[in-house]
Amino acid sequence: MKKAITASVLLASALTSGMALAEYPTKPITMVIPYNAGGGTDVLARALQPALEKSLGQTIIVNNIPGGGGILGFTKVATAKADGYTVTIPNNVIFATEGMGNATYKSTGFDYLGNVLTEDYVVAVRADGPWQTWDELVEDMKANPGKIKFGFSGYGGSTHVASAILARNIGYEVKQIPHDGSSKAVVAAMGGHIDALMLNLGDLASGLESGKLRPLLSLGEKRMEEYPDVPTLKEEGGELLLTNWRGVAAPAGVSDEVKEAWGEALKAATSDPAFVKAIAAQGATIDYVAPGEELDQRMQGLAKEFIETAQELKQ
Amino acid sequence: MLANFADAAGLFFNYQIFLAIAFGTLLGLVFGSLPGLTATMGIALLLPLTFGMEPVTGIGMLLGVYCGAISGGSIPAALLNIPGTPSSVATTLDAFPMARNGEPGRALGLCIVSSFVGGLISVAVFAFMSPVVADVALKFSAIEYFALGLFGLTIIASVSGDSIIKGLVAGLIGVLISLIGIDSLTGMVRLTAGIPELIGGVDFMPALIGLFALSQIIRDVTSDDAMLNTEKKVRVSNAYPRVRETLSKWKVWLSSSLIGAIVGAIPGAGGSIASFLAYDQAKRMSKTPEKFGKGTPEGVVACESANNGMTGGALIPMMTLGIPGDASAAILMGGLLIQGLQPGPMLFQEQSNIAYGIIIAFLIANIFMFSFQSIGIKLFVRVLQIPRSYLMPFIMVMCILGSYGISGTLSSAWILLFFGVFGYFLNRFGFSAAPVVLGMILGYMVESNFRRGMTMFEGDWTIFFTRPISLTFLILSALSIGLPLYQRYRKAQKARQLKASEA
Repeated sequence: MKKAITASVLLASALTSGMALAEYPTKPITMVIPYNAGGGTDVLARALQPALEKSLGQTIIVNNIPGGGGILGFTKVATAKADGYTVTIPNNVIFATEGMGNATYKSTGFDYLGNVLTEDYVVAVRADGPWQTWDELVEDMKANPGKIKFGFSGYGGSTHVASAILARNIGYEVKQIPHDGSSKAVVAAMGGHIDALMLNLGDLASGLESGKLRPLLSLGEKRMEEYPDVPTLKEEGGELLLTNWRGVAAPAGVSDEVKEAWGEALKAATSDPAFVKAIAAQGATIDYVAPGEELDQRMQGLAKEFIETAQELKQ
Repeated sequence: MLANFADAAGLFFNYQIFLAIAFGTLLGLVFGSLPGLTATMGIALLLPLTFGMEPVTGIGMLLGVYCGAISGGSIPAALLNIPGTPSSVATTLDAFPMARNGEPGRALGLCIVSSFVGGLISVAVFAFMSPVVADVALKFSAIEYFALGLFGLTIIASVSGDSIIKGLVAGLIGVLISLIGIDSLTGMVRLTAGIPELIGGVDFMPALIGLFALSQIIRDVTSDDAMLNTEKKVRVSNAYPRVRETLSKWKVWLSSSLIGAIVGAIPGAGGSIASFLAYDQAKRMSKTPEKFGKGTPEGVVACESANNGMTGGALIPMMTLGIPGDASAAILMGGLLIQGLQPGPMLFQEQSNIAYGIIIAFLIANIFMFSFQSIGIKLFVRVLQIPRSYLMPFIMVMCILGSYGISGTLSSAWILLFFGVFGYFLNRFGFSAAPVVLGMILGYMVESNFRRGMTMFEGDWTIFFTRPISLTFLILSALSIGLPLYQRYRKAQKARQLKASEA
């Protein structure tokens, strides 16, 4: 009798563990947002949440761990158990901070479970300024090196590194003005306290709509839907192509099963009409890429560019 | 514009919207009055509920949380000397002494009426002066932020209690604490002593809860204070504000509410600065400044009308420019974005029903806030009748839970404990905690904006004196430091003359 009980317990546990393997996820998943509630990444997480919960069949707990420009939250995920129950939504900032040497993680510490959206880097100027086109701005920046006040979000963040990459690529010199976050940079430009700035389109949206800022250039592949008159750098004869992204990542070493489950869940979520509406208001473009080689290569390319430039900036 | 309001009023012909706003306000009051839980957390908590609601209903509910929490923070501030939210730190300065002098009902009554008046004035500013205020907010560059912050720091003189030297020391400690973490101008990590959790800086909320709530708990536990042992004798007297008393303070109301609304509208300044500035202003306007800090009604009125005046102000840059004025407004803005609405000037043109509906909802939230508190005041005062041995452990648990909830990491709980003990010793050696808070709020703002300004203008320091707003604040700062010194000098001289004539 005793044997039978032991056997059945063993059998049951073997079955359940086997089932657990086949049925990721079996418990709630924590999604760490390394920024404050209400920010772009937070809004994205909360917009994804309902659709993800539907297709994964588990609760998603959104956990905001702000601080250090994302470093604290990303570190928490990079050092978490690679079981697929802790995920985060990174962007180029993980590469930028690694290059600056402040990060307590490496970009190789993440496995990418799928890309969700692409955001254009956009250069805008104050609308009462004399610059009508990107060419005019470049001309001015080249003629007066170090005079144009050029703002971005924070030192060593993604928009700082991206503006440095652009400056090096075109060959101009500006007076760099870092801010404490993108909204402070937008206010500064709207008030005419800085001349130009580079941010992601979503962060610029309010400034552009108010008419106090004028978009001059996007670094994306195609023109922006909302501002079809604004040329891309490629059209202006530049070689550089630079976009920011937001996707889902887990600590490195998760199983293929986790990747598959997320790949499918993200695919479903990104075609959900409510999600599409929320993202459109943010000025981002849905750009679903399944986990796998293509995504990994893309991330490696961005990592290389951002880490190298950030390392140069630091010197 | 009135036609717009009339159109938007159509959105309010259903009971759900009132129910949602009332629920939000009630929850806000609870969150605000519990130390450790803040307006921001309450709004974040309810945010997912709004997804399925009509925009104005959802945002109205969140606005209810906002008003309720900012006002509810004054309840523990007045009764227990524990500010429920950062913006009620200054409220403790006079409301608690008043309660302690045996008039807890009067203190709370003043808080409630002042919150309501501040709220109403801020609704008016929000509704009718948004474009003007938004323009003022845009005039603030690094130079002006520096000057504003510097002026804010001079308030240390009015809140340091008996010794200005001790106030300065406490203020400088606060400034140093604010500099911990990544420097946004160079990306360098400063003063973290190699602790990775400090890279993002010292979390303000747990530090604040520690400095005020936890240190007060330690103080209560270790002291043999007469009042603490006679809770049962505290009469719930004067529970209703005296109409005449409150009306006679109209000057303080108006100026404090306006200070609140304008400071609230400057992104990144926030409610705690607003209430300190208003407190300082009221003290200056008063004929009896020496009574401040000992339970004067003007002090209570100033802080509470300023921090609720701030709420409408903080909504202005969010609604008109698409830029949140403080952390709570940032989440509100997230709520709008998720509805597919981009806050900004276009909202008023393209979705004017929603934009004006939000203003009406904000007014309704303020009315609910006042009604709930007026009904509840007798109940609130009874908190003092709960034996401290039950109350304090409960508050302690709330503090730790709240701190953990802010960041989701245990490091916040450690910060809470550290600042609790630190605050206890500050008090023990006659230092006041308010200057530490001022230093923590303003230190980094002053330092980073000074350097940012110097970068922008190539080290030309005259720029601080040639820009009108900056110059005004610098003159105010000089007066703020110089006048008390001059008065003291005159007093000493008079005393000397008196002595000489006597001799």
